Amino acid sequence: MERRGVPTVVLTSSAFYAKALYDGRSLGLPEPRIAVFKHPLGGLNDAQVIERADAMYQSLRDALARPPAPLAKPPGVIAQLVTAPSDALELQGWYAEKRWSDGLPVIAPTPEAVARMVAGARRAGNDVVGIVPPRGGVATVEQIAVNAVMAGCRPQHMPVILTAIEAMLEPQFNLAAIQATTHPVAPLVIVHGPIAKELGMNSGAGTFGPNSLANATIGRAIRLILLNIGGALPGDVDRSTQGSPSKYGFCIAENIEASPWGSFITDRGFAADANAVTVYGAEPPHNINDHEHGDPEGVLRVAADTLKGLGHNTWFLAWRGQKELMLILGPEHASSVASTGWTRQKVQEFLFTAISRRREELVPGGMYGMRDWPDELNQRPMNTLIPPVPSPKDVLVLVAGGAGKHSAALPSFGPTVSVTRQIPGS
Amino acid sequence: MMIKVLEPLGQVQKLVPVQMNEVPPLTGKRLAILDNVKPNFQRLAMLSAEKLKDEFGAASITHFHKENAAVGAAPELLDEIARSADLVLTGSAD
Repeated sequence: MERRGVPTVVLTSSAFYAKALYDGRSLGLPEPRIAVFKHPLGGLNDAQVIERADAMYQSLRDALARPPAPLAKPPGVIAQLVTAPSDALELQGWYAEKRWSDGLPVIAPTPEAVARMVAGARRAGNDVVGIVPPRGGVATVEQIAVNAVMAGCRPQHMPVILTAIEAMLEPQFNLAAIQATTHPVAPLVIVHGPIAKELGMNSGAGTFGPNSLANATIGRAIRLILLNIGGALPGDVDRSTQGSPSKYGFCIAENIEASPWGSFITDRGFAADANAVTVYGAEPPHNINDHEHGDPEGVLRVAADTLKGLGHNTWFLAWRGQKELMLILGPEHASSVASTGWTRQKVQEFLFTAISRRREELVPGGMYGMRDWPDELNQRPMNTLIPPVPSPKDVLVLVAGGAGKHSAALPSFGPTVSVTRQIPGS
Repeated sequence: MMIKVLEPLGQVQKLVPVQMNEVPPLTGKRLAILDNVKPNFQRLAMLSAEKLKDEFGAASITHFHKENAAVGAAPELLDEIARSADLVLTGSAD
């Protein structure tokens, strides 16, 4: 609004003051006008809100009375080479002190190591991949390579990392909100195609877990890029209430060989053998244990029960009317679901109905008052079914994992749409 | 012993800095609330705007809201508010 010529005051709680200041500065305002009330605001009764407003009023008057701050100087180029301890143990403390790591040990990004990583990208180091919010960090190939070295990546991982970052910077992914929300969302990176095997990725048993260098370090590199280039420092800018283990690294490969329907990306117009990356703003995996059923309806009803939890954002928030849920079937469940000839489309249609809830069931939901439903849904009687996503195709279904009777439900952040991009030159 | 490493943050995008605007005397001016759609924000902002109206004689209070709490306000909405307000109160986070 200030850019449009209208003075503006941001009202924020004491717990979120630093974020409001950071957001204002990220938008080019040197000293945004901020009035502060005592945290929290949500969950208060009316008398308590009145109390907050009364207590904040002087802060609001002060913000209005303050003359405009002088223009901020354009940010300069940060020196790239810095001096760090060579001792491996001292180095970790140095990174932790600067808040340049995720807390785990990092590999020193020496110029030689970064040059090797850039070579793996098969792109020039000064190519700009994009601007990572909310910091507005310029993600050049080289800057991404620095973080990839720190994460322990191999140079051949770079094309996957670059493609994932480009996908996350599409507007519909809504990375700025994903970086800053109180929700525990993290971008899930799914690698499709022969490249997954070439890189030694684990699409089988324990795909979400440890032990694969490629899964672990690609996922970690993405997080370091979001932390460092994107500025999503937990507690300051990343306001996730509890965080999530998936914010350390969240990268898997699709188990195409175990999929009865071939690769997920064929539904998105890519060739079955294309190398591609999908990014999806997800909660950590919610387990679906079903040792009882061998038929499609039985397995999918159990899955639907996990997918339609009342606490999921998906019920209430969308990106310009679009939102998604994801079901990652373990191979044994996938085989059961496909045993009578069900296609992926039929699975999606069945789930779309099975995960719908009567409107009256949603009223007690934790974000019902914040819902952004279209008018048509708001007009429906209380006893009619409301789907959590707009259409069956928005229930994303793919296969990953190994032996066993488990699958995973991954509710999304809500106002985010997944993006799939082909890995160039692969 | 020390080594040279490349720092991981990199440059920040060069934004065109914004010259903040003077707050005019509020007598007869139009106040707007850009609601971030978080619970209780509308009530808090309305109470604050009413206090300003009472104390300084502002002419009106208009309420606008974003699509939802996790999506930025659309440019068209910001344009509309800019046309219809002399001071905006908005919210950040919970």
